Amino acid sequence: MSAPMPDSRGRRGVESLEDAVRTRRLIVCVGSGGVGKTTTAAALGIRAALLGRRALVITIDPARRLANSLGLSELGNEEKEIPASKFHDAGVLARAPLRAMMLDTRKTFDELILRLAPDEAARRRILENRVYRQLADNLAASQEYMASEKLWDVYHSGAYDLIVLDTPPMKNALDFLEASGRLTRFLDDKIMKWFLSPYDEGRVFGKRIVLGTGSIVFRLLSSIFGREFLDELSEFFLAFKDLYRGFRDRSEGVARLLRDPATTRFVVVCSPEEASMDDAVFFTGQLRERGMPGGLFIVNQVGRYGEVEADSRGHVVDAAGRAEAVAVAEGDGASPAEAARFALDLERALADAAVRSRDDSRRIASLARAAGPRAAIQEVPRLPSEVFDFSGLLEIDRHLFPGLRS
Amino acid sequence: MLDTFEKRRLIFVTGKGGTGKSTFTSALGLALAGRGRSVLLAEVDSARPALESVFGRRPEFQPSPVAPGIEIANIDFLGALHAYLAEVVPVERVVQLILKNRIVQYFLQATPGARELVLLSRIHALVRGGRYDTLVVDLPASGHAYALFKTLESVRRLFQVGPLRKRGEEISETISDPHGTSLVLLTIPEEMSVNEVLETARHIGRLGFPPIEGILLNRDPGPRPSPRERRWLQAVRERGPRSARLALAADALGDLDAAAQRAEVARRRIEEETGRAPLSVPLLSGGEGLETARHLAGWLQGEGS
Ligand SMILES: Nc1ncnc2c1ncn2[C@@H]1O[C@H](COP(=O)(O)OP(=O)(O)O)[C@@H](O)[C@H]1O
Ligand SMILES: Nc1ncnc2c1ncn2[C@@H]1O[C@H](COP(=O)(O)OP(=O)(O)O)[C@@H](O)[C@H]1O
Ligand SMILES: [Mg+2]
Ligand SMILES: [Mg+2]
Repeated sequence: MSAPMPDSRGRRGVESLEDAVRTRRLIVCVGSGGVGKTTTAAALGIRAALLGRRALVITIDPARRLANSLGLSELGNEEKEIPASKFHDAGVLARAPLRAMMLDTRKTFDELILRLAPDEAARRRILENRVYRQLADNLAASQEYMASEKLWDVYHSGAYDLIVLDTPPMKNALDFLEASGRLTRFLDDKIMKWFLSPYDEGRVFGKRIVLGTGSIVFRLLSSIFGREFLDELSEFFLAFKDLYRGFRDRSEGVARLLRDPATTRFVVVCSPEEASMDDAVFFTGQLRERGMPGGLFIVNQVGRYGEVEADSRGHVVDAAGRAEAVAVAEGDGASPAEAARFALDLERALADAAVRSRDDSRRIASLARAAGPRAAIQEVPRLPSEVFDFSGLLEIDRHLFPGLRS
Repeated sequence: MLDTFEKRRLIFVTGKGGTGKSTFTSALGLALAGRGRSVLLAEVDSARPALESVFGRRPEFQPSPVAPGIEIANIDFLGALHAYLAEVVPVERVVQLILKNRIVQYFLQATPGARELVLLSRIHALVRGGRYDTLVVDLPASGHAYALFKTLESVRRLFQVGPLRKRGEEISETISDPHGTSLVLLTIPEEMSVNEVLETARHIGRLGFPPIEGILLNRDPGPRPSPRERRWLQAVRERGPRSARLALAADALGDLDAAAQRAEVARRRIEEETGRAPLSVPLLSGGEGLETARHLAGWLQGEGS
């Protein structure tokens, strides 16, 4: 698992995105909503395949068109191979197979129970427990657990050189980071025993339990949450009893995996908007606190017009260019006034875009300061249209890895 | 629009991340306060309260004033839990005992919906308390917001009797009230964001509450350039202009057109699926934080009249 990694570090000993895709076994994309995590994760997977690494992209919420563009009409809980023709048609060569899957929380959870439950009766008891059903139904609550579950599975399948994990937006990404640790603590045997002590298996399923000695806390909990619910929850715990070890071992394993710098890199994806940049900085701190290997940033959707300045007369397009625009319009039936208006619209669009792009550059510079000298920040321009086909992903790839050829 | 909002006591705002929830919440607060209403703007268990970057003051569990008629708060879980327990357990020392107890903490983490119910209880208490004319809640992104509401249904299913059942029913009643409560769904003109808002609308519709006030299409860049201009633009791009600046300007105008086209698609999809056109909120230029919120508040005031 921790075989020595070939050293392809760039100058200054700073690990680049390319180094990570070449050498690491797990890349986790994190960032606020809508910045391009899913898109980036897909592009990183493609790059790995181009480099000859067997890769799997685990995504959370792919746009249908993105799934389609990978030739995966219904991306599901099973790993599916991206057809080689996708690469071929785009004029590039995949040197290793690329697979993708979309996490289905409920299915993953049920599968897990199936695998960990010692027998049919134990399995049924869990699947029929109301608390379990609510828990498994509540996607927002268990997506994070399940992501780490699936991760553990595919990591140990030995089928992949690199796994790229897409995550839900920021706030949940934090939950995601904490999920394995929290689960481990939650499954602490001592706590379980304490909680279950007023109950025992025989009595739970006979007449409803009479609280034995009972601690103050337990009595208080009953008075607040109601006795009926405590019963239900205890049943859930009881039913889970035999599964604890399996759960705990796995979640501890995932926690170690996420912190192992030889294996894992977190990539913080953000857009150049103020809010997203703030999130990126915040997130960097969170990774550091948790001892998770970061240092890689992708600033996506950066404006391309930052260089443009107005001349002394306030024009952003030179006289020759303006004349050209007017000529084109007049050649197609525009009146002189209409043609002038067209030229003005062009200039205004560029001037506004330039202002926004300069804001972007300013914010990227301050992100660089906050991230420190050991960080690698890769900018990707905002493309003219949304990214929903294979060639769009390759375009992103070109910007992510400017030094590499497809 | 402002006239309608003025009648509500509880307004929830949600949408995909980055669609403008916090900005809109703040703008609505400013606009309502401008009409003399007393408003509380609240985030829910936010690790990084956005209201701080807007109002320059960190929202705490206890509401604090930031502008005439406006208070802000962050309903964090521990604060809400404390408030919740304090209602049931009269002795503060015992409340502290419970809060510090490891078992209780595990219990709350393990129990599906416990966290949500405690947070909702606080929102409910703030509305019932009557200190504010309006409470605007800047909810987390739609998936989590939906989970929050769905908890009420889960509680109903999990508890046939008992204190939680009763509490759940009280909250449901407030949140379902079509006169007092409304949910605003925000989207921007991007496919994923529109997908999410439509999915949320469907889910909330099935759940039956809270009443949806409408879908707002935020950052709408307005109409596309005229068809004739688009043709000329195309011609400029096709001939590969000699002026590099003209080529760049053509790209920029092209971006603008693409964005406007996405907005058109978004509007059409929302109207087709919900039977109602979204309300467009314009893309405002420049400014961050409070500035954007102020612009938007100004727009709300103008638009509503
Ligand atoms: N560099 C880019 N230029 C233009 N559009 C982009 C770019 N990166 C992503 N997008 C678009 O932005 C939207 C959000 O991207 P997505 O990857 O789904 O974000 P996330 O997973 O972070 O929510 C998608 O419609 C995607 O096509
Ligand atoms: N109508 C608008 N025009 C321009 N910028 C906007 C508009 N609405 C929001 N923004 C900007 O979009 C970004 C995200 O808004 P925010 O309110 O933080 O979103 P959310 O709370 O949904 O994550 C902020 O930088 C905000 O200033
Ligand atoms: Mg995504
Ligand atoms: Mg926000």
